[in-house]
Amino acid sequence: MKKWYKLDNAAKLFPSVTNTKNTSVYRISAVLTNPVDVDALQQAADTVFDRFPMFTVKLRRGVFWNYLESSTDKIVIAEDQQYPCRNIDPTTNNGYLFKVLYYKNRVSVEVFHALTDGNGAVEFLKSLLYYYLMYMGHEIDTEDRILLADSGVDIHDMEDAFRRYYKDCYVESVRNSRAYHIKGTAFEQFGNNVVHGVVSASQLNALAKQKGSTITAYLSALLSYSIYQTRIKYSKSNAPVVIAVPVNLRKAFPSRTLRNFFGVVNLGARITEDTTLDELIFRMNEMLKYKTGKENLQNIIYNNVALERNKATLFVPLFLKNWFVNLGFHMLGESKRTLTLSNIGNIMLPQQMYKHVELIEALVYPSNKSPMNCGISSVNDKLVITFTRNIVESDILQYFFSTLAGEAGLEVKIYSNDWGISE
Amino acid sequence: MTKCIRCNVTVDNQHYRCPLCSKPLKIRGESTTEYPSYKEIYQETKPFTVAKLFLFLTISAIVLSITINALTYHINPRIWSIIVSTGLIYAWIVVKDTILSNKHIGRKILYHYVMLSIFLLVIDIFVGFRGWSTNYAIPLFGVAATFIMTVLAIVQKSLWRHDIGYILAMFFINLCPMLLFVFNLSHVIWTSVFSIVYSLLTIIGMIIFSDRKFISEIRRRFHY
Repeated sequence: MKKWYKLDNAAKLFPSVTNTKNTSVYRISAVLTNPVDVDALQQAADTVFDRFPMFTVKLRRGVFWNYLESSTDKIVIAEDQQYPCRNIDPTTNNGYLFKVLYYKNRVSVEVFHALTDGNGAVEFLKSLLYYYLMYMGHEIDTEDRILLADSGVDIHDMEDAFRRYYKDCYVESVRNSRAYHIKGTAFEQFGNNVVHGVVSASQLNALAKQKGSTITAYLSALLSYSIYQTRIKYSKSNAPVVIAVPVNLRKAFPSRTLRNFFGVVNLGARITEDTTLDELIFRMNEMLKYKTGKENLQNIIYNNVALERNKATLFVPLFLKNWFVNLGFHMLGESKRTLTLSNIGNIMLPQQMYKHVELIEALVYPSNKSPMNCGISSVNDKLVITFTRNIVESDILQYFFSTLAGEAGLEVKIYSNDWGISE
Repeated sequence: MTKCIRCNVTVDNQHYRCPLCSKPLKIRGESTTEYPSYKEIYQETKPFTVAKLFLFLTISAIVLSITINALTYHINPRIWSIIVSTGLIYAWIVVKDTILSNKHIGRKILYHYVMLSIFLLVIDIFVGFRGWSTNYAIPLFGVAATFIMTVLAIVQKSLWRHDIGYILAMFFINLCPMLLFVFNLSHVIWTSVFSIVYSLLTIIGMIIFSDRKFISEIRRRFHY
């Protein structure tokens, strides 16, 4: 009999709000030092199969909830041909909600968010790369940093940590105003353009430290400032710029789950002519520190789970739930954020793997209301800032990267997938 | 590696132009971070497809029938264009959702049942409501749809895996003719009773002829 899993709390959202323009598909890629060998990669995918049963599932519709049903079909790797973060067609790839793609030196994992968050996808990618390198004939000591295929599935990998850390508590709710939204011209053919900027992680960290801030807060502030300088400054809008930052809840609430376990905190600021970048960095850092405090994160878990636990929601049929969830997502989520900045952090690999991995990239799917999103990841002291966008205008990222290179004095290396840019 | 002087950044060899400001750059070469070329995908969207043609023809026919109906209303004071339009929309569903799509057969049957019910109800209303659609057609179509679904499920031996959702949906739909009766839209009771009894027997049959899989499937669908 086939095993099945309930969707975790965060995952319940995604099937309801997903469409071709808001795909809920993110991508984590590794750029290797050598071109990818297809056979070895397929072999690696076959090997990791058993270790990640929560990934090898298909989405099924129930009467009151969706659920995931396990499958024994193979993971089929494919050459990367489409633009990144495209919606995953469930009639391809044996109905799986994730893809393993390769192109030249790049191995990418694209994941439908209902399966897992960035943390889970990174674990999967790490295991995949480990076995890939092993099949390529490299000896690697795992140093306990890799989930091995023969280590057996841990029951804790599959827990819905939201439920475990749910606690009834008093929550203060504040009505926030609508955030500023970036507007732009759609590409002639719908798709996502990606621009990556590579900087030195240690230099950027030193720079952030010098301003008394963390990398995430520093970049959030710089990004808000870029949006103000290129857009809001010359418009009549006085809406706040709000950067939504997904937070890995595993750090505050120890869980080894490979499923979703993240919360989103909003860093907002009403920027005016008098606001300086330094001031903004300070404010963003204070806000991030406060909002990622344990008590606030506990509130996030409470808010997310309370609705799901409500006895009344239990008996609302799925199609009505989809409708309400979609409405709530747009009114309370999408309209209150300008863009998402997701920092998946420094990826820790076994020492011997570093020389094979040049870069790790994190691509956050854009949507209608936030046509541009940002993903940050680092490995080997190389930090990649990735903008994924579905609009032509590149003014904000130009300002952002130029400031990072000019005033901050970092060396920034740029490359892109050139989607929608005719040569 | 080339420096884009305008943006103050280094641009990777793979680019002819700066990805930030489109300024042309001199050198181009291989790079480890290169993406595939998307040229083929750009050509992928076809302006002309069979589905688009049928959509256009359907809309044209609807607009034309409404226009003719409006212009000749003084000769024939009936709103017959509504019937024609509903029929055309139904024909569109047949082409798009049944012939051109590869959706689950249960879903197709469900769509046909719903659309056909609406179509017949519209005809009934616009030729002077006599109630033959609510009295007979809708409840009996429900029974027929459930029957086809059950037969398909048995023939394909997929009763407990893929079709159960649709059979359950048909069960609830077959309860609806009773509502028609309650709201005085239907005056013949035996058809409503027949549809309820028939779907009840289908469910009972499913339970009796089921194995453990059935219970587990129900548990997933309802999440208890």
